[in-house]
Amino acid sequence: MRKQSIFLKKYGELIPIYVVMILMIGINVWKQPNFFSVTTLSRTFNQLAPYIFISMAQMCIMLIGGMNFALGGLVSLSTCIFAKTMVESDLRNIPRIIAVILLIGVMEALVGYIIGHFRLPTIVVTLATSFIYEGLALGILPTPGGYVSPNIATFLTGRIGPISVAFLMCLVFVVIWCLIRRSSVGLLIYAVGQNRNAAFSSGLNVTWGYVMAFFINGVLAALAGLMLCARTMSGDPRIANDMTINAVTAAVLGGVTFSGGEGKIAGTIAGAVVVGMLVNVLFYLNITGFYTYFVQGIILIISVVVNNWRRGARRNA
Amino acid sequence: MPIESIFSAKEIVKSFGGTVVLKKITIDIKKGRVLALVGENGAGKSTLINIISGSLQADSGELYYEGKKISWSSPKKALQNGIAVVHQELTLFKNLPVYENVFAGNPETMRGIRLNRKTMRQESRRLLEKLGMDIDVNTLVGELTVAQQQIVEIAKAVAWKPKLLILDEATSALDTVLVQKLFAFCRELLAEGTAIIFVSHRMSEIFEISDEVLVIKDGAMVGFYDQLDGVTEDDLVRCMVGYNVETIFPEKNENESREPLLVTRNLSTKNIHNVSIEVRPGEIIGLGGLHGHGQEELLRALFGLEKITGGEITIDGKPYEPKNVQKAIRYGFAYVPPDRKTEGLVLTLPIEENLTITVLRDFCGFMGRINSKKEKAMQDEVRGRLRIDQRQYRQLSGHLSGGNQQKVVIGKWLKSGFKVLLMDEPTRGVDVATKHEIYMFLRELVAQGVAVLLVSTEIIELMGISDRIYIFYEGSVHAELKGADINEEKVTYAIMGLKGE
Repeated sequence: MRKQSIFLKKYGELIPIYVVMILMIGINVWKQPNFFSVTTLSRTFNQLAPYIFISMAQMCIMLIGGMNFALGGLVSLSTCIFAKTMVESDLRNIPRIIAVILLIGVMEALVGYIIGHFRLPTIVVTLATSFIYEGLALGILPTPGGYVSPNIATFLTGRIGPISVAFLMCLVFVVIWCLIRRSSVGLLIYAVGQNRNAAFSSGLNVTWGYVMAFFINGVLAALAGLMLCARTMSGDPRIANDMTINAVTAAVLGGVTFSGGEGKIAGTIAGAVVVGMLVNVLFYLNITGFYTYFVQGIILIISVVVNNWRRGARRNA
Repeated sequence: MPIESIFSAKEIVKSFGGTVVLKKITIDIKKGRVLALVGENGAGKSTLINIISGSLQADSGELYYEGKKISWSSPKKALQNGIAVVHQELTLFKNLPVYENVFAGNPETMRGIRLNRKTMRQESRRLLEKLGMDIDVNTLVGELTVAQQQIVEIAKAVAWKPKLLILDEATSALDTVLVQKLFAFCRELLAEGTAIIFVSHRMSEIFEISDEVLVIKDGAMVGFYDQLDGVTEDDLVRCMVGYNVETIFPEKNENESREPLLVTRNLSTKNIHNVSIEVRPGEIIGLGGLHGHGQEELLRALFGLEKITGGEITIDGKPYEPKNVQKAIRYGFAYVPPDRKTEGLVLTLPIEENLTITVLRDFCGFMGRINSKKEKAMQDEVRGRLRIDQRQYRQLSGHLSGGNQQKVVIGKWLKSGFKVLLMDEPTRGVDVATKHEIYMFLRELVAQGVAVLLVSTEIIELMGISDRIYIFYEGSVHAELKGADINEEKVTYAIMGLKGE
């Protein structure tokens, strides 16, 4: 009884977003009766995985305070680097892929270091890096193209037994995040996000917090880019530029706050699924793609209002 | 045998943008001793503490720790070497549980990057129990009361096992019982050889716990007492303010005859039950009690900030139902919140605009244009009446000392035509001289026929300023004290929920 109430207290605020998520899945199942077949499920996951990764990436930055404006550009850039560096031999591709993921992570870690060390506002710096990344992407690959190894693409969009590889990758990262959250790095990120000055005078290494949050965010962005490469079989310097706002919407829907230090991965994932399925659902409901942005904007405002209202209610409880 | 020195600072100088805030301060702190740092707000105490604890760097001067010359580059360095501060402004993370707050950044519970949560929970529970606080360590800090948060902040500093513990206004949010628990705990630490720097505006506390007292005024040392035998409160206060404050509380006046101005009958909200009080014009009513026993909530309820669940209120004979703040102001209420920095002032606006913010409509003409001539006249008048110490034209409120800020918070209500002034801890963290000015001013106000309802956890203040006192206990009025009944014994008894004889 007591256990249950603690569970409710901790995760109760996630109930609405999960209801919405199940509703969305319901519409999919209704319009697409073979939704639960192995192939359709894995196709759905291939479509959702980039959203899930990029939303988790945005969550990392929102937790430490602020927002990563450059996220979409960064994902686009990473698809270009992947498509430029892959070669015919898959044995040589695997270390290259890992190197690119780490490269993107380190690049972002550097941005985190600059923000933490010089005490700069996250939003301004990432706005600047968004131009840098978008420019770099166009320099590396002016038009969509490049080379993506078919074997790797088939593997990433395929299945191991009945289970989709994209799903497994998400799962692995969720487990990794849970370990981070339980570690001193997790505590550091949440603490800095809630009160940067307090963290400093409590003897926490604030700069290290930014470095770690941005590193994790970079790795996740690269993974999102990798999944997009596998799906499109190419790199594209603009493919994910619009996804920054998707990622913010997903995180906010999942209960991550703009003020920092508050939010859970379980919520963010549900938010990402909702945002990722929105296009499908609007299509099934006969609403033209034209209105997708319109609907997303409305959803973002509603979810911020709901978040605030929920926090207010909790404070009075 | 000379007592071993643990920390000393020699000729510390610090200035901010041309203003010298510390002028060659030299202090020496010895093992197992308590050094009290007293001075008015803005005298430089916090700056000195920030230099000792590594948050700020001195412009010149030397610091010695355990005999070695040191210079801290960050609070982390100081903490690792055993200097921990309980800050005046809480440094807590509201969405993290208590135990994570207590041990955030503390290597004691770290194994590499892993956290030993079991030890964190156990140790925080043990520390909090010692400090007299029985709370679940898994609670989020944001859900605690101010007093509970203050205790968590203390536990956090103590968890570093400091050799030098600095308590900067650590008691201002605590009631008498918790202060006693804290002092008992401090004595244990002192016996183990820890040194303590103690900052408080409450003289009684300073006399109770301190071995030595250093008085700072305008950044300079103006007095040092190496023992407190034979030293009186007056001596310290005189030293602090530079002139003689005969008696800090003004004369009371007794007028039972007038018709009540404000009456509540069985007023209830979520946390208060059946509160019935009467307030007459010209009265200052004290609302006493331990933190969270309902006195603060009564003020908030009257000002339309809490949901009323039962009972009725009349003001000036008219029934009044608090719905929102606008209505409360229309019916003649004014409210001075407990935390001036977050609720009382817009810190990033100048004094002038903070003063007129509540009555802006009176100066507005066509399309909301503000009549700046009229506005300025009012600002000058209020500033004069409250003697707000303004250094420059359009000085930001955030740059004022605590006492001056509080005057602005009171000042912004002056022209609203209020009948009842609700004040929650109006002198928290305010120096003695400004306290005196505020008390005098309140008397001046009530002489004109308004009434003041004042919540205070400081017993001396409660007794000194109130014509009558209602003591709250567990959400109800537990006792009403007036005249000769207002004495320390009776008040303390009532606060504890006892019927004292």
